[in-house]
Amino acid sequence: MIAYAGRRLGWALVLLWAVTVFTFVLLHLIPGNPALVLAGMGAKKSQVHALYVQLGLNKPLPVQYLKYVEGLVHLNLGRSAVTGDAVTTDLAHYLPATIELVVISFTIYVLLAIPLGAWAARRQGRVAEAFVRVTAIIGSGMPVFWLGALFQGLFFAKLHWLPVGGELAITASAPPDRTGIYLIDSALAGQWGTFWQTILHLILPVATIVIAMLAVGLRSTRASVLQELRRPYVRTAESKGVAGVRLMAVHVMKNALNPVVSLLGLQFGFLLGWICLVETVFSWPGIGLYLYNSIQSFDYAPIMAITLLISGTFIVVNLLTDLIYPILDPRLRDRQE
Amino acid sequence: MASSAIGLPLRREAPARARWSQSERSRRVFLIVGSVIVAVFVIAAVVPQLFTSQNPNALYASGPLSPPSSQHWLGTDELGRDFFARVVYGARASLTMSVLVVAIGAAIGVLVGVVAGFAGRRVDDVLMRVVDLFLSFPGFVLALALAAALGRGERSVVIALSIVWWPSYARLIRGMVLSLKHRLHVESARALGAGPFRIVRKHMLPFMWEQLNARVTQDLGYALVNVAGLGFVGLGAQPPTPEWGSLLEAGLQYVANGWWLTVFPGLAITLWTLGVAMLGDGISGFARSERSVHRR
Amino acid sequence: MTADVRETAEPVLEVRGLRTALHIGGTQLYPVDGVGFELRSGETVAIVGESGSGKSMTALSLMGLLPNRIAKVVGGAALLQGRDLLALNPKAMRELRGVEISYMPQDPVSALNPALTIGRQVMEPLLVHRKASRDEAESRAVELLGNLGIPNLPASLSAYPHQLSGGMRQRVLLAMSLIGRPKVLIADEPTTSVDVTTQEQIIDLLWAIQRETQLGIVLITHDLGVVARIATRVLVMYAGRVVEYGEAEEVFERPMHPYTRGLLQSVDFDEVEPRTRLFALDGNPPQLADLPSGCAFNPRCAHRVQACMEVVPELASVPGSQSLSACLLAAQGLLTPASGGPVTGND
Repeated sequence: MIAYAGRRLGWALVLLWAVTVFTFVLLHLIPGNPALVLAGMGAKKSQVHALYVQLGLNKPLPVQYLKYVEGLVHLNLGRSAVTGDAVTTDLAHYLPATIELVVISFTIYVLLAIPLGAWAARRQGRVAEAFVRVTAIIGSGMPVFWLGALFQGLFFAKLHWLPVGGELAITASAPPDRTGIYLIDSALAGQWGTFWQTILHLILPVATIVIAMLAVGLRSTRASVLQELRRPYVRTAESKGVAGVRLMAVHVMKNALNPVVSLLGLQFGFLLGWICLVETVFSWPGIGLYLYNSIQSFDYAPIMAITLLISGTFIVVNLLTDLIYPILDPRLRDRQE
Repeated sequence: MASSAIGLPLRREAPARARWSQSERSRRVFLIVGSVIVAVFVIAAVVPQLFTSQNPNALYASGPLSPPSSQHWLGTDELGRDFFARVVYGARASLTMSVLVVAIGAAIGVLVGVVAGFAGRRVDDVLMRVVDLFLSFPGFVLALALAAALGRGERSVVIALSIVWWPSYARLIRGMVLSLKHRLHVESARALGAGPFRIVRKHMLPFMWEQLNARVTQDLGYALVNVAGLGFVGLGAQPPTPEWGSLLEAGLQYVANGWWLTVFPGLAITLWTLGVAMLGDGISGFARSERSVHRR
Repeated sequence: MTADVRETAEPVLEVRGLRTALHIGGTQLYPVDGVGFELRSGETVAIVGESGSGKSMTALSLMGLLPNRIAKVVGGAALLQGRDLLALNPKAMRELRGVEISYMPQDPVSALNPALTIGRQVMEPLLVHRKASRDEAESRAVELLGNLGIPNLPASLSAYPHQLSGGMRQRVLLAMSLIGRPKVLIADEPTTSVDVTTQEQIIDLLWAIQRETQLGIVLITHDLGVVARIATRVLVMYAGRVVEYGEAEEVFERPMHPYTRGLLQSVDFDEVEPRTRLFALDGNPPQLADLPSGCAFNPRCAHRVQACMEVVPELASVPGSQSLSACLLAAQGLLTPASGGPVTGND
């Protein structure tokens, strides 16, 4: 088990290293030299020069790489051409909104997907099959940004039930900054009006993400549970008089969860890929929107930084799911991988 | 099927025979509908003039943001251009990029997969490690960064997505090569000195078609979704060239008074993905029913 | 079906005319067609037959564990101490499982849940039916597993199935099915998946437990050695029907049905080797969807006459024997002893 964890950790580190190589290469692909790129377009010549030296651009590539990584470790991610601030400052500003969106969406998804999958598996009839098939079709065909746009069109433009986007109305004031996450901050400050507003603004983006993920995940969850229901030991349990919820929860789900967990890891990756698109649709002030703006304005430093951030997050999450498997399946604890 | 009566696996989901005839019918429907959709889209991409006489870049008297009418089937966009023409012409950019991505990705992937499958353990391990590396990241994010770095334009998108695409093909092909390598006719071909590519082409390909077909058709849809996603953020085909992703993004601002600007590009993307998936489903069902007749 | 009058005690399990329908591909098949037997406390009824004869389906039918979308009991009665199991609603049946009547499944490898400890799985019948507190259940489990030969208790309770050998797992299954102190145990192929030594041990255990608790055992098997050692009565199944039913020794030494004869060939009851298998016959049992007209066995029967191909024989008493046989010739005393062997191929 320790060896297994060690191996996974090692691989995670390799992946992290690979991403830094990737962004390093990209920096050199961009026209102009990396110092120019990272300093941002509005930077002063002296700043660019300082960066030039710091990155060791007159030295051979491997040295440059090392200096680059050194910079990363010190959280020197460059400067945004648009805002003029250090990218790290910008990220700190935008990150909470994304965290809010991602955490809420993913939690709701997990809370829905597993019971829904189990339910759909138990009901083996036509209705359940049709339901699953329809959602799978939606998932395969509809791009997430279209789904978001449709929701916007329906719930905002047509029905006027929900706001078009943003984390809060333009006229509203943000709650006092404690975490940067409006939902938490407004609750902490007791500003329930703001709290409610934030929820209203969250509904559409979260719904878009959750439905898009369900479309893909539901079928697999159901298939996984169905497969488990066929196992001989389920019949053994029934022969002892176990049934209903206890049967599902204790006997079936533990084994059904492993493939579901690995799928969750994968879907989290999709989610990370989607935030840029979803945040753009809803003008949600998170790093996805920051990324979009950076692309529009040829602002490369943030692009690279966000790529690193997203990839890094994905690596960490996958590492965690890898470590969960042995907890779920005792057989993995003893096996020599 | 009759043998299922004795010693049957006790938790069958539905009577086997009933499902078979039902799926046969739906297979056929899928094949037809899928081919029609794909054909229409491909023709639109190649010869858009067949579908519309309007110019996608010209401004029309109806003015901007006029809703769908008999004159402008999908209305006009924010600048007054005929939107139907924009969408139809958009097929060209969107589909070309998607097809190229899958073609190039598959080509590279097949190459690497065959090499990995036939080469010694060491080479195989190294190659698969590289593949694993690529597959350990969300592809869209990497492609986005890469395309942004390579500069605007369709070429960047195609290159970026192809690079993200090939690893899964490599793994697929390698798997198939490995499992087929030990079949008798393959071993004898190798003994006779045939090179790996010849072997793959002549002896393995017939067995790989079904899986490949399923994968490729699915991918043509996914590729489009990714291409459109990149177009959505501003990479890929640049204005005024229409591309479904960028069309949709431009339409976002007009959600309230120009719903057609977001609905139709997205609809096009979805229809293509569905059509291609149905086509793939229909073809594989066709191939399977052909084979199963001989199997017993 | 008349009972043998040697015992006069009431049977703890009495099955009459059990019929189960299977819905496959638009047709109805009957993998269990008119099965009946009696089981008293302390007795063992062995159900033997080839694969597909309906043995396991009989067990599942009795337990109410048929896959309910495609199979259903459509006739007969199964009286467990007077209560008809087949007439119970699912909830009532569930209350009996594990505590009044138990089922020990085949294949210890897949029958145990890999995600739960064996302690948990063994204690479950007691906990689910609220027969004991957690502590009581645990000590009972330790006691039972200890009697069955599981070492290192109580630490072993936290072990997972994959950490145990096949023989150990079989014992765990046995413990699981006995912990609720059922009146009847249906053991489905308890010796098939284990080695010879373990097989001996399992049989000895069953025997000992039966002596002690007067447990009634329905033993499903195709291993003659096992049958010879602990069966009181034997029920031979073919294509879903009972073809012979009688006292074990009698059936072995004077089989009264051509199928039984073919299976046993010249097996000596007192010297049956463990693992002596049936399948001594040529040919295959028929597909349920494709049963021959008349007696299902007639294509493979050396004694066949015209009537056999027209009439489906009922289980009837045989003159000169205590057994019941579903053979037209036997019922009329026309089945000569030591007749020619079985036919091969078609005729």
